[in-house]
Amino acid sequence: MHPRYFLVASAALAAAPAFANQLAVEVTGISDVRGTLMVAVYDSSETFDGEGKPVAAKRAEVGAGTVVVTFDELAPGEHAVKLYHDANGNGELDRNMLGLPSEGYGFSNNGGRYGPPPFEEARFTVDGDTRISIRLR
Amino acid sequence: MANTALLPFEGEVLALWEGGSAYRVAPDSLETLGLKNWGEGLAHMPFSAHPLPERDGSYWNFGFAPYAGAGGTLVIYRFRPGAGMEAVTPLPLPFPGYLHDFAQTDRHLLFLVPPYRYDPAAGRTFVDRFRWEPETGSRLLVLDKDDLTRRQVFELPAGFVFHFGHAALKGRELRLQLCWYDSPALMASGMTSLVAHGQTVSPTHARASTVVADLGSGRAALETSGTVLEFPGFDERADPAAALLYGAGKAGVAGERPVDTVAAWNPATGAVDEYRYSYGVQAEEPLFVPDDSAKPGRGWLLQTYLDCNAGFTGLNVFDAAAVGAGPLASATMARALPLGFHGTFLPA
Repeated sequence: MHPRYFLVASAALAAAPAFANQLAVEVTGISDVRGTLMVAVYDSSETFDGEGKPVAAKRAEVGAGTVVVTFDELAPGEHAVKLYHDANGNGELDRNMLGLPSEGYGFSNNGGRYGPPPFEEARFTVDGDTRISIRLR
Repeated sequence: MANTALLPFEGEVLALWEGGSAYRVAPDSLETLGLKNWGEGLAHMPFSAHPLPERDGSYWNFGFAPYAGAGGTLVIYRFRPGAGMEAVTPLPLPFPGYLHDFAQTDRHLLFLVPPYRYDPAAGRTFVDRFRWEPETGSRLLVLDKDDLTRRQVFELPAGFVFHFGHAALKGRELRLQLCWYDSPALMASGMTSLVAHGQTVSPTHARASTVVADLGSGRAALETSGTVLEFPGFDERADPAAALLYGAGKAGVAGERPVDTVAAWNPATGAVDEYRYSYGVQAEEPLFVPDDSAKPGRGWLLQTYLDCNAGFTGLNVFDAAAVGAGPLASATMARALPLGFHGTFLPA
């Protein structure tokens, strides 16, 4: 093996503690190829249903097609994801006159047809490496 | 999704539904060009499939959001080719309802609000969330075009309306033509079965009807006819006090025949001039296309139909003034097309 590749591989291994749980969130249905996806992971109904702090959050540049956002080092157990597509880069989910989102958004388990789903409906279990798919609304 | 009706606009065609923004469509290829976003804060706003033309070339439209506020929010739009959206006026409704279409006089916008309450707890789908409350009765809502916050509300018997014809104002008396259902059964169960099974046996029929409202006394009355009629249309050039209402109907209310006629109903006399298709043919919306004579009522009715016996779709052209004489011209396809809702006529 070339030394440089060996170094990269061992650095990656070193960053991942034993028994790490990685969550990969695959985001589909992106129609506007601009801006950033804002993805947040929660681990309780208190934080997900309220305005609480997520256990992890990431932003990801939007590209054509599917975007995969990964979170390392999550504790095993129940989680829920909410995300939105900040297409115009103003740092918030834009809404129309009636308060409905005018930028893309989504939740784990793909609920949210009539407003944000409760944690109860959006939750899933992170156990080892986990992959979920969310389609933008 | 945007599959209810079409509006030619600024060299494009707007594909309209009612739950959200229209989609822009290329007139020749019918390729989807994207969401019609009228401006900031207007993306995904409810926008009905039935805009009304104003005499100055602009358009009125409305959007109804039953989920916004106690009775829902009625949003009135005024837009103009070349100028875009000129005014957006949200109006909270003080009572529940459902709105699909509206009508106008020179001075008013007219809505029939059925006692159909949106309740998020009542069901999982949008349609399932409406509850029929006939004891409340229906209401005619009259808005002043010059000041949309000025309104008059008239009590009517409980009933349901998808589509309107023309309206005339003579003195203080308003006469509004519409297709009246005694219940919302077609929306409540008919649409669900249509989506689930691709067909529906209409549990109820709309009858060509007139609402007469006295703007002075605040009283209104419903005059129903025995004529089954839906997908109404009329000649925009005609005096609304004398114009005929064209539509697709059923030859006789009884039985479970499909919509099988094209009809011209005279609201003033109740006279009906109709052409009836043979058994097994389902008729669709007839479109009134004015001729070049500028004479009110002179023009053609274009009607597509599905021949279920022979398995093809056809198009008939009728003289609007002599519907009962049968088609002047016909064209047929070698295949059947799915039934549609509303069409539009684009001159070649």
